[in-house]
Amino acid sequence: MNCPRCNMPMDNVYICPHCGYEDSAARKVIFSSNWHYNQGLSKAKVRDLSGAITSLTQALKYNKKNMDARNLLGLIYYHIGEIVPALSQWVISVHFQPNSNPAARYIKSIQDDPQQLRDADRLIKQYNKSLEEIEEGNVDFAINRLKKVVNLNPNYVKAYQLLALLYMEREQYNAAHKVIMRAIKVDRNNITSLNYLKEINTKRGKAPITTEDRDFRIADPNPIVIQGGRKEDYRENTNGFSSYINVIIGIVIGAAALLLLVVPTITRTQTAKYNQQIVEYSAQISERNSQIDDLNTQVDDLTQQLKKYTGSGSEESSSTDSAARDQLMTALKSYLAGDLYEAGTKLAEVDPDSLSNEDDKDIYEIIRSETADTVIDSLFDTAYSYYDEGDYSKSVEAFVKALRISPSSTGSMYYLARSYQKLGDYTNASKYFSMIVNNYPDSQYYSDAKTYLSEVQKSDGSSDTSETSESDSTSESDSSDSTDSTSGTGSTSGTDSTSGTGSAYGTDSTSGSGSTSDNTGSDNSDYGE
Amino acid sequence: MINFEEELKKFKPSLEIDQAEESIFKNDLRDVTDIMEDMIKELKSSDLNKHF
Repeated sequence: MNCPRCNMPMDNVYICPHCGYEDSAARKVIFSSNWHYNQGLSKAKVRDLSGAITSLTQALKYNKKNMDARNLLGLIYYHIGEIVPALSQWVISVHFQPNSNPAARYIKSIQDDPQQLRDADRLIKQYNKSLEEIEEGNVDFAINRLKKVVNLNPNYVKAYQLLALLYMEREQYNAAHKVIMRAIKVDRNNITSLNYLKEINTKRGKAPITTEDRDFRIADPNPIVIQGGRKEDYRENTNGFSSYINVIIGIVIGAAALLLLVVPTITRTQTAKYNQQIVEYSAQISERNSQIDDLNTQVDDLTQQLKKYTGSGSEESSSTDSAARDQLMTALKSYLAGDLYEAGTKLAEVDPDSLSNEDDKDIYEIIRSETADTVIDSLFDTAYSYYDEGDYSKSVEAFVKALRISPSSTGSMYYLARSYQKLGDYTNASKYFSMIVNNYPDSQYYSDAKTYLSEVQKSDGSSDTSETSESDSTSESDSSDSTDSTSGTGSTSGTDSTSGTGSAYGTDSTSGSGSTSDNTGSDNSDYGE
Repeated sequence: MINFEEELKKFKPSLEIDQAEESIFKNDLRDVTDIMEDMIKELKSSDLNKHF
């Protein structure tokens, strides 16, 4: 405002410092502002903070440059937890009066302690968060949060009021009473607090409870720790001996607690551990038992299979033995009946190796020796006819039978070997050629057997190539034919011509007389041993 | 009898620190002296209008 006379600025004064003009209007304004400031100050001193705020705000409405009023208003805001309004008032105050202004010191003290500012801001955020939780219906969370807020800032009047309101809504009037009384202790004439207190007292009056009963009968689910109490409630024990006794008692109680609580816990833990190990071992034992059962089952199965195979083998063997014995018995019957030819023929069907009984073998040998001369010619002729017809499989069977009756028959050996050779069975062919070469050097088949033995052995070594074998077999056939033909002409029978007719069985030097000229039957009578 | 919902509406969120600057600028700093000056200006302007 400027001086009405000299138009010079008049800052917070009613007498112009330049011309000395006293502005009565300005005087009234400043005096009114100061009066309200004094009212606010008086109310603040008796902790009527709401009334002080009203008066100081009024003082600033009269004179916005009343720095005392503005600074005091900031202090009151700061005291009741309203940090931002307090800072606003101080900043404006410093703006109007940068020098010699206590507000600058207030601001600086806050700037020097940023942690305090952060804590205050955190409390404000907590309060705002509780409001959000109430809107979301989470009243329990809001109550817990507000309790933390008022414990950290015991002068946060709005938080007290909100907490009391929530308690009232929950009809926890004793808790609400305690909370609102603390709010009133901070701000004595707060209208909201007084209204809540009145409501709480009304509700509590409906169910009158004495002070002593209230302390014991009503349990506050969300109690607030209120500092202080009657001094006589606590008495310092200054007796030294009693202290020692108490220490000893404490040690004893601690040891007892250790024995009663800790040791059983340790024991339980170990027991649980052992039980767990027992369970694990039991599981392992069960698993092993299961494996043993499986293995036993496998052993039983294998044993069963072994018995089965053993039984079938014996049956097969016994059946073979039985068949050979039956044939032997048939041959024996014919022999006893005097039919040597029939007996020899039947005996040729018997494989002596299949006879297990020694008596049977003896019977076989007796009949064989007695019937050999009778049936050998017939057996040889039959076998040779197969050979001559080129039916080498049947000739092999027939020559084997002839060899059973006459094991030293080089003719049977030779043509059996030839039959094997024709069939490509060089191993057996070599076997019988070798028998002649090794055991019967005087036989008429010796030279041919020796020749064929070398061929067969060569063929056996290169038997993997079937083409070569077939070629060799063809050439051998030709050679054999020529040999047979040569033999049939009697050119090689010089040493064999002395044997009897048709009964050449006995020595290697025997040969069928007259039959050597027969190209096909030249060897029929040559059964040299 | 206090209505809980109505009472709850009276509780507004407190201003946080980062809202301090905004709060300062929004502060109504007009006082009686400012109002008187405005009135005087209006009176002077009305007198001038009447005069002319």
